[in-house]
Order: sequence, then C-alpha cells, then structure tokens
Amino acid sequence: MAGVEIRRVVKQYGRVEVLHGVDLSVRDGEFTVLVGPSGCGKSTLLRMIAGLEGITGGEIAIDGTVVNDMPPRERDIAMVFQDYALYPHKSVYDNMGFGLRMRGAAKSEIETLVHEAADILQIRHLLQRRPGQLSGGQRQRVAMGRAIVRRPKVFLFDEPLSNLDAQLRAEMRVEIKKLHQRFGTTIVYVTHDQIEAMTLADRIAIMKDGYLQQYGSPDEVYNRPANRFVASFIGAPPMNMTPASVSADARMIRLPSGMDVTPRGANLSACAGRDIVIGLRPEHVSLGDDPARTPVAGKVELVEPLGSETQATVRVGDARFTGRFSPEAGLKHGQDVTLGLALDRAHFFDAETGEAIRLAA
Amino acid sequence: MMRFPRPRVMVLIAGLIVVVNGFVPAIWIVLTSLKTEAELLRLPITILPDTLTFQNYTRVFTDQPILTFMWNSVAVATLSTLLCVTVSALAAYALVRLRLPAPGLILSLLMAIAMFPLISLMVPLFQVMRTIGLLNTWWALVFPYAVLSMPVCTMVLISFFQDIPKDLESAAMIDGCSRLGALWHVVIPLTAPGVFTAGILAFVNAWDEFLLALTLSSRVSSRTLPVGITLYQGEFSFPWPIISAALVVAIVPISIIIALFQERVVGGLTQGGMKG
Repeated sequence: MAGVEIRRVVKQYGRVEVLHGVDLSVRDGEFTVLVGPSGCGKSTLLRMIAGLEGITGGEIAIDGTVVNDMPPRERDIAMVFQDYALYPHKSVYDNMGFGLRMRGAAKSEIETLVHEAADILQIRHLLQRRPGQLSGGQRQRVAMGRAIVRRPKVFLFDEPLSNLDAQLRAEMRVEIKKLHQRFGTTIVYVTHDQIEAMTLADRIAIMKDGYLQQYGSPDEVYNRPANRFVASFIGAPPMNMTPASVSADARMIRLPSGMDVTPRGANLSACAGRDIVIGLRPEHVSLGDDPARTPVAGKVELVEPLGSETQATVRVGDARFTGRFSPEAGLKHGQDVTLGLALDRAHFFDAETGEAIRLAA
Repeated sequence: MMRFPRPRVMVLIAGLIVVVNGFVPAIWIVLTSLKTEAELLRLPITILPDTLTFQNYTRVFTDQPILTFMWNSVAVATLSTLLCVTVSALAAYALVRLRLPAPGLILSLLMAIAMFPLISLMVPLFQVMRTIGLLNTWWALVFPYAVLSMPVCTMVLISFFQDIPKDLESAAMIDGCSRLGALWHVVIPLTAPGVFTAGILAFVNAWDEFLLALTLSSRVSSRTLPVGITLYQGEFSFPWPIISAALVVAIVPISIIIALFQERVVGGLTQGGMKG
C-alpha cells in the first residue's frame, strides 16, 4: 500500500495547458475520487499517475518515490479502464494472469492468485471463456479481477461503471466499496457521476477546467463547498442558486425582480452591501410559513413525483427554487404556495468570484 | 412482370470475369503439363490430354536443378517477408501511435518508394551489391524485395493497427509490458489477419519477381524459380509441356502457403474486449 503525492502538476499538449499546477495528496489506503465535468482533466491526471501520459511540470510520487520518468510497468499500479480493455484473444484466466506472467511469477503462483481473485469476484466459472463471451457486468468483474490479482500499491479506476446500466452500476459500486474495505489499498477513482463520488470516496477532489476546486470528505464538499461550482456540481437535484444583493445593514436581501426578504436565522453581516449568490439545497426549502425560516411567496412551475418524495420547482419572482416535498402535499402545477427558505443552512457566494463567503456563527 | 435484380447480376458477372481470368491460364498450364509435346503441336488442339503423361514432371527434376531454384526462392521469399513485415509493423505502429513529426510526409515518402520503376533501380542496385560483395547471394535479393514490399505492407498494417483501441496497449503496459512488449503481446496477435495479409503480399511479390533476380543472381546455384524456369528453354526450342510442368511445380509451394495462411486471415478477433 502507498500514498500518492501530486505536486504542482502541469500538463500541456503543444501550447494548450490542460492541467494548471494541481496539488493533491492521497493518503495510504485512502479512496480518493476525482470528479468533474467532461474535459476537466481528471482522466488526464489519472493517466499521468499511471504513467500513460507524460508530465509537463511538477511531480508525482507513489509511496514516496517520484515516478515522473518511471514507465507504467515499474510503478506497481493496476488500472481498470472505462471500456474494460480486456485482451480479446486471451481467456479470462489468461487476462487475469497476464500481469503476473509478465512479472515472471511461477505457474502455480499465477494459478493460486487468479483463482483467489476469481473467487472474490465470483467469476471462477468464467475463467476459460473469452471476453467476447461475457456480458458487460462480467467483463467489468474480469477487469477488476485483473487489477486485484497483482495486489498493487495503488488501484486506478477510470470511469469503470459508465458503460453499465443503472442497476448493474449500483451493484458494482457496492462491489468496489467491498474490495476497498477488504484490501485497504489506495484507490484513485475517476468519475463524472457525483453520486458515485459521494458514495465511494473517503475524499473527493472536484476539478474544473484543469484546476482543483476542492479536496475534502463527502461531508465537507457537500456541506461546506469552497465555491459556487462545487456547490452546484455536488448534490442531486442540484443546489438552488439565486443572485441577490444584501443591504448595507445586512437585514434585507433583495432577490431578482426586486423582491425584498428579511432573512431569519442567518447573520449576513459578512455579506453586507455585497452582490452575492445564495445557494440553498432542495432539502432546505419547505412548504408553509415556518417561524425559523424565511418565507417567500411563489407559484409551482414543475412537479416531479418520485414516489417517496415529490420534487417541485417554484417560481419566486424571477428566481426559481426546487424543493423536495412530501407526496401528501399534493402540489399542482400553477398552485400558489409559500416557501420557507432555511437561510441558516444556505451557502453564500461572491457574485463575481463565486468563492464561498463564510458567515459569522 | 418479375423485377430483375440487375446490380446482383452485374456483381456476379464481374466476379466471374475475375475468377475466369485468374483460373483459366492456371488450368491451361496444368493441362499442358500433362500432354506430350506432339499432342500440344497437333491440330485441332485438344483441351484435355488424349494420353496422360507425367514424363514432363520427371524432366523438370532431371533437366535442371529445380530443387535448388526452389530452395533459393523459399529462402529469399521467407527472409525478405520476415524482414519486410518486421520493419513495416514497427513503421506502421510508429505512424499510428507515436507523435512523430510530419507523419504525412513520412507516409508520402514511403509511398514514393512504391512509385520507382524497378528498371531504374537495377543499375544502382547491381553496383551496390557488387561493391558490398552480395552479388549471387540470397541477401542481394532479400534486401531489395523487403524494401519494395514495405510501402504496401506498412499501409495494410496501418489500417489494421488503427482499429486497435489504445487502452488495450495501456493495459498491457500497466500489466508489465514495454511499448514493444505491448506491440508483440497484444497488437500483433489482434492484427494477425493484417500481419498475414502483409506477409502474403510480401511473399508473393518476392516469389514472382524476375527482373532483379535475373540481374543480381547470375549463377545457377543462386537462381530463384522465375529465372530458373527460363533455363528449360533451349536455344531453338520451347518445350512448353516441360515449362508448364515447371510452372506447376513453382505454383504448388506458394499455393500451400497461401492456403495455410488464409485460415489465419480471419477478422473479428478484436470483438468483445472492449465495451459494446
């Protein structure tokens, strides 16, 4: 097992810089998820850890050793690819044993380790098949088997579940979590799915446009987002974002279309006289006038019943708030409602920079 | 009124023309090799031999050292094919995978090799081979044959290598292969149909070549089959049945090789390793 240190890592393709000095420290045995929208540089960073992409600047260390100039085979890592990347001309057994064979392991050792990994992943009955004879889920298991069979220092996962259907994805998510609990190996996992990130990670690194936005535990990035991007990227349905301006005495918030509301339960002195963006999670929007919450009147614009709850979007002036409500509320399109905004749980961001504004307690 | 499937008929006719054009001369040679010279010169001509004779085949082996010619042909064709496919595979891989400067220019230069008229190469090649002392050896033919087949072999392999997903090589490199190891363990097995296609092209080119073989190998001991077969012709005679029998003997090995390799030239090997 080993930690992974990424120090001021830069990646350029010709004159185009795609990673701009990323710093990241993955602790020994930690499950870190790199998450972000397409093109944010997360897969490039993973491939740089693997040694499949060169490093333009900065350095990467695995288990304390700088690996910038080390070929992939010497880094003692294993990788699971988005498209599985199983060798089509080899049986499942040979796919799993190939890495061991390349490292000169004895036949008997290969057999023991492959069978052990196959038992863990419940694919022993598939060992003599070729990848073309397997389903998507089975191929993904084989790809994971190929990775765990060598017991490497670090596992790298590059969007491994993105080709699976929703049910299989949920199953495999559990399998990956179990594998991490069983082996305790350091994992760096790339995904664009924030649910995967939240459910799997010990810590999440959120990236955008080649910059690291925030690196913290799922609780931290969800409850204390560093900026507007992180706040809106993490959480489903996404955080409600409403531009507003705060009065000089911080006692009044002006929402779009000039609606003034008096904030209850939040000390906005840090935002006094500033243009801000209010971020409010859907679970912090309720129906009816609650004395602890800031009331606003609006009209129901969209109702999405999900069975256990109903998500509804309510238009308040020019702003929109999505909330998660009880199905018993019986919300209808066009209905006039009063929303209670829990501004004490809201996040406030600078309107210009998007950086979070920390309120006084 | 019944509609006539015209495009299918056209395709059928085109296919027939190709097949007939290819097979009729070969069948004619086989039939000629089984006739006596007297029957061949008789009018009206016969298609099937009146009296079947294998005498011509005996003469093929007794009149000239055809086994030596054949051994030279096999050696030269095999060595030039191995050299050509190895270099072409490395070149194709580099052009497909490595970020080379001006890959378009490299490809154009490669194709330019294929444009040289062979006759223009003969004199310089002769002088080079004489200077380095390779005249009348296999290598005098192996090197030029390998180079002459390289453009087409490289193009064939490029088209096959482009279909191999990059992640397969990445997986191999993480599993412990060097780049060349990934090429050997993953890319080459998966592009076996392409490698065999390129190999067959190079082998047939080398097997059939006449002009360079005539120029660079003047000793009987180093002659290849195409040149050796001309030795059956006398100063004032053309023993067509014997020459035909020699041609049949020359065709047999290459037919066997093509038949063996054709089994390997099957697609679909890459199916299933990736998503889908």
